[in-house]
Amino acid sequence: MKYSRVETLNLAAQINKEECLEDLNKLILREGCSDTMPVFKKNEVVLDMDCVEYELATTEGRTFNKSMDSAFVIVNDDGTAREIILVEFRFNYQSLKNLDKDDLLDKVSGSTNALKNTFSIHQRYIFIFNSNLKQQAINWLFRKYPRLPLSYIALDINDLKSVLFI
Amino acid sequence: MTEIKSNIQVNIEDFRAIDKANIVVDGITVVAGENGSGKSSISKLLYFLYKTVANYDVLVKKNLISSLRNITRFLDIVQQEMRFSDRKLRNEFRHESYELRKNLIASENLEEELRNWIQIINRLETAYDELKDKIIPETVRRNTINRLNHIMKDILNMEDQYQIEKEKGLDISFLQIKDFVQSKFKEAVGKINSRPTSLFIEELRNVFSEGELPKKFEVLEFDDLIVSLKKKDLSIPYSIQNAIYIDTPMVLSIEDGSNIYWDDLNELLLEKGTTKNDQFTKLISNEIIQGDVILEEGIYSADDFMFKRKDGATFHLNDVATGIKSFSILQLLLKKGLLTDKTLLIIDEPESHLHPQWIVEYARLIILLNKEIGVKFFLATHNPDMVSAIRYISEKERSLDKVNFYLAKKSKEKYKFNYKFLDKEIDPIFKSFNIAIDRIDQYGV
Repeated sequence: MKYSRVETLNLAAQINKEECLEDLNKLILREGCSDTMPVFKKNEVVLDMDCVEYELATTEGRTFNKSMDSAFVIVNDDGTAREIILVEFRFNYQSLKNLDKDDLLDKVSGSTNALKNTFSIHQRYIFIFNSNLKQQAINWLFRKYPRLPLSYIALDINDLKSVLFI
Repeated sequence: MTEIKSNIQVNIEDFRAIDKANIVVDGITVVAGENGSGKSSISKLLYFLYKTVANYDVLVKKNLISSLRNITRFLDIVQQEMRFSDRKLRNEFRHESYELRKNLIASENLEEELRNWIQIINRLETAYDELKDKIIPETVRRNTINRLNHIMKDILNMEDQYQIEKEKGLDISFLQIKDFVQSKFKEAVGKINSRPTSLFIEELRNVFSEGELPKKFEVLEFDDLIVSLKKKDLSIPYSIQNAIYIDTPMVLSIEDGSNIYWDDLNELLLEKGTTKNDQFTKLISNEIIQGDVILEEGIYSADDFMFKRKDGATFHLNDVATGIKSFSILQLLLKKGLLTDKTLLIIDEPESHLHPQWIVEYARLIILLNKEIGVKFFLATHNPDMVSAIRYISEKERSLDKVNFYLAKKSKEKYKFNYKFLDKEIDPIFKSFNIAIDRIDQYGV
C-alpha cells in the first residue's frame, strides 16, 4: 500500500480539518529534518495532527491530548483498501535519552482518538529518527516490549519514502 | 573518512579472521563484530606486543633461566652426588644455586650474574675434583660418572659431536658447561641491547597454536613506526608501558599453563605490594559490589583472594557471583596501583556475566578510569548496553573525543573481516546487533 494524496485530502475533508493539511517537506523541515530538501517531490500533503488536536480540544473545551505529528492515507494497488498511517518525527534527538515509553503510547492514543470514525488506522505506528539513530531506536523499541507493543516501528526518512511513497 | 590522529595506531593485515584493521588505541577503543571476526586476535596481538616491548629485559631473563634450567638441575645433581663430602659444603652449594636463579630476574647486570654462575661452577668443579682423592667404592664411582655424563650430553645436545671419554674417570667437562652458560648469557645480553623483533615473533608463535603470523603488523606512536614485523628491532614505547589482558573474570585463581595471559594476570594480582584505596576502589566497594576484595596471605597454603562483604561476611572469591569477580579484578588492579596513564587494559567482552545494570556501571567505571587516570582501554564487545553506555556516558563526562568505535565487517574474502572506523557513530553496530531482533521475528510468534 502506498501514499494517496486524494484519500489524504478526503480524510481532511471528512473530519473538516482541511486547514490542517501541510506540505510534507515543510512539516519535516519544521520538525528538524536535516536532509537535502525536497525529500518528497510529488506535492505530498499530510495532516498536521498537532493542528487537528489543537482545533478539536478547542472545540470540545478540553485540555490537549498528546498527538502524533502527522497522518496520511495509504491505499492498495486497486484502490479498494485504505488505511491511515500515523507518523511521529524525532529528528531533534541526538540520543534516545529523552525517549519516553508513556509519551509514545499517549501520542498514538491521542491521535487514534482524534481520527476515530474515519478510515481504519494502520496497526503499525511509525517513528522517524535520524539515520544515525535508527538502529538504536529499533533496539530501544524492541526492548521496551511488552510495555510497548511491537507495532511501534522506527524508520528513517528514506525508509519512510521508499516503503510508503512512490 | 575522518583523519585519524592519535598517539598509538595499530595496523594489522591478513591475520586469522582479520583482513585489514587500522585501529587507534588512545583512550577507549571499542570493537564490535560477530563471533569469529578476529576481535580476540587483536586483543592478543596487542597484549603480547606490549608485554614483550614493555618487559623486554624480564622476558629475555626468563628465557635465559629457562634455557639454563637443565644446567641448574645438573648442578643440583652434582652437589647431591657429592655425598661423600661434608654436609655443610653441600648445603652451601644448594643455597647458592637457589640464589643464582632467584637473583637473575631482578639483576640489572647480567655480566655480574654470569661471573657468579661461573664462580659457583668453578667451586663445584674444585670440590668434585677433591673427591677423587677420597675413597669411594669403584662401582658407585663408575655408575655416577656414567649418569652425569649422560645428563651432560643431553644438556649440551652434542650426542654426535662430543664424546666423553668414559674411561677417563671423574672427568665431567665443566669447561663445556661453562662455555654453554657463557653462550646463553652472551645471547641474552645481546638481545637486551639490540631488542630484536624475533623475541616478539617467538611469543606470537607460542600463543597462536598454528604459529602463523600477520602479513602486516605495525604500531605507530606519534606517527613514528615503533613496531613492525619487518623491522629488525623493537623500539621502546612511551604512551603505553604495560598491558593487562582480561579475557574472562573466571581467570581468578585459575592456573592454566595453556593460557599464558591467565597466568600473567593471576601473577600480577598476587604480587605483594602496598594496598591503595582511592576514589575508584571505594566507588566499586560502596556503589556496586557492596564489599571489598582482599588478598589473604596463606600460612599453610598459597595466598588467595577473598571477598569481604560490607556486613562482615567473608567468602572465597571463587564462591561469589562472577559479576563480583569482574569488578574485583578492577579493584585489585587499582589497589595495587597497576592502572596508570601508561596502562593498556584489554578486556574481551567486559559485559560477560554482568546484569544489565552492572554492565552500565562497568562502562561508567571504564570511562572514569580513562578520564581521571588516563588508563587506555581496548574493548571487544557484543553488548548493546555496553556500547550505548560507553558512547553516551563519555559524552556526558566530556570525554567522547577519546572514544573510538570500530565494526568488523565481512570482507570479499570468505571468513575474513575488515575493521571499519566509525568514530563516535554507534548505529552501524546496532544494525549488526538488531539482526538478533530480526531472527526473533523470524523464529518467534
